[in-house]
Amino acid sequence: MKTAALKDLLEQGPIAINIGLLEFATALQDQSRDVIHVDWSPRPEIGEELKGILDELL
Amino acid sequence: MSQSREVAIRKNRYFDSVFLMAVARRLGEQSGVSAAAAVMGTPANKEALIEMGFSERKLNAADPSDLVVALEGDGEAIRSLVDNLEEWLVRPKMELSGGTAISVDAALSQQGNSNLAVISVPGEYAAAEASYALDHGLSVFLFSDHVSIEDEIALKQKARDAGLIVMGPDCGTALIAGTGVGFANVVRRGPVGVVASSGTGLQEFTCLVHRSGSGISHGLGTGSRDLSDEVGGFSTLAAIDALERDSGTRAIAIISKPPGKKTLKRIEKRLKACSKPVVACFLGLSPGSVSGAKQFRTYSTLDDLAAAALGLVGARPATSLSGPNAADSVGNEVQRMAATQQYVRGLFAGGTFCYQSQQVFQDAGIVAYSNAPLEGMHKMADGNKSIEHSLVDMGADEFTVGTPHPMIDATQRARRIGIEGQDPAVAVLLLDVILGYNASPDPAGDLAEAISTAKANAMKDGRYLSVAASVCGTDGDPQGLENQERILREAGAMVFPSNVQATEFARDVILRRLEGD
Repeated sequence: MKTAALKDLLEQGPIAINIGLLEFATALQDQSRDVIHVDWSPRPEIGEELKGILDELL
Repeated sequence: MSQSREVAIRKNRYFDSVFLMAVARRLGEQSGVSAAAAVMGTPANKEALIEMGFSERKLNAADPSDLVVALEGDGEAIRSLVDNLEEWLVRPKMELSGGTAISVDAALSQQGNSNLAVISVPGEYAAAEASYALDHGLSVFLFSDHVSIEDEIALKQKARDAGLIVMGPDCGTALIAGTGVGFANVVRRGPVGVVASSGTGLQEFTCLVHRSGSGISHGLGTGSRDLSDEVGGFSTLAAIDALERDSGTRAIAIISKPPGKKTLKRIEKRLKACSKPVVACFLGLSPGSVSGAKQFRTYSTLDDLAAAALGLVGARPATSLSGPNAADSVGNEVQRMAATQQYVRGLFAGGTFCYQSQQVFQDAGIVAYSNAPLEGMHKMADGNKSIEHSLVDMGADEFTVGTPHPMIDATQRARRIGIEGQDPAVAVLLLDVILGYNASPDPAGDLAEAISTAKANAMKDGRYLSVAASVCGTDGDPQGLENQERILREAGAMVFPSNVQATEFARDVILRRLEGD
């Protein structure tokens, strides 16, 4: 089993990408950790008609 | 004043639940508004709004990626709010030194050495985001719940194969190299490593270790289902492996509800080969029923677990962790009570505290009702209606759909304190107050008025209402431990340093009442 990646996390501490609640990112920043917040939103639902057009185009 | 209802939909506008709850609260406080909701247009949210009487026809036009604001009240007032809705959707500016990114790909490009994805998006989207993060070499802290068990297993298998860990789903807390992730306390670093399926369990344990002068190497969450036989303990095993290898960890503590039988055997087998001493608390499972290696011992409460872990690293629980003198306190409180006062009502923000309090009662032969009953306790028919001794997890889904968790917003709990305090059969209110990152900025202050009012009202009725509160926190927490304890005392509560001690006090009051004292 590979182990380096988790070992690296524990040795370096979190260098985080935050996807969701902004408060979690600010709390990490308050602890002087590097963090990037992703301005996340769900992918819009594509209607059947548009899906058909995209399928034809692609 | 004529009552109207309005539903406003904003297509493809996503906001997180914490922000939307704040929007709904502010809208609900406006003149002429009797009810307000701001949610994403998921099927569950739409169903809840339809049940509240909002137009099904209008709501059917909303997709999960759409914002829905529903208002009830004076027609003119709510139409004015809908016309100016954008004003209410402006988020206070928060500067992040690392910046923001428009996508996970962009974030990975901006910060190439990232090693952790912290994911708190709605459950139906969470597994895809977690899988993507694992594919790019990041471990995952997965706060989101409502992730399917099939997705959880697939994510954890992927993590295992890549030498990563998935902490979650439904993971509230982690401490990694001294950094708190999610709802975590400010705890010094030290020789004790922790693996926990319970967020508030991890918080209580790490605070007890800190307050005894020792510290935590790492505290790794696993998600509430990790030790079930369906999941099989992937994250627990990965965390044990990591802590065994970690040079800063001298002893390991495991905190969980009872594991599945097969999984417990797997964990026992792993621990027999562990080179470091391990102690565990499987809340609800008798310590004698677990057979591990010579160095693997189990304890029934988090306080006992902390004492054992401290012992393994040459430390001991601090004398400051002794609460008010139990015998004197119980006697003083009981003698002021009316004959009708017989029962305890526990109102908890932390699910583990609700569970642990039941364990303390069960060990004393006291049967209680709960919305999250331990085996041997009674299930409440309705979590809103207490019966005899009732211990209520107010962070359970039934209380938090569309409303904030009680660790963030105490409104529901404060209201419930008032209700329970009016019941002439209630002798003790048992509460927890949880400090740390991402919790309410003043959790004791949020409850203080409700506590003092309940006590004063009882006094007017010729009763004496005892309030026992434990504070889960440290001197380094943003809210300030001493300050929070002082606020509770000034409101009339007895303050204990742990949930176990507060529950033992409540238990002793009840036992004394049963003796007819």
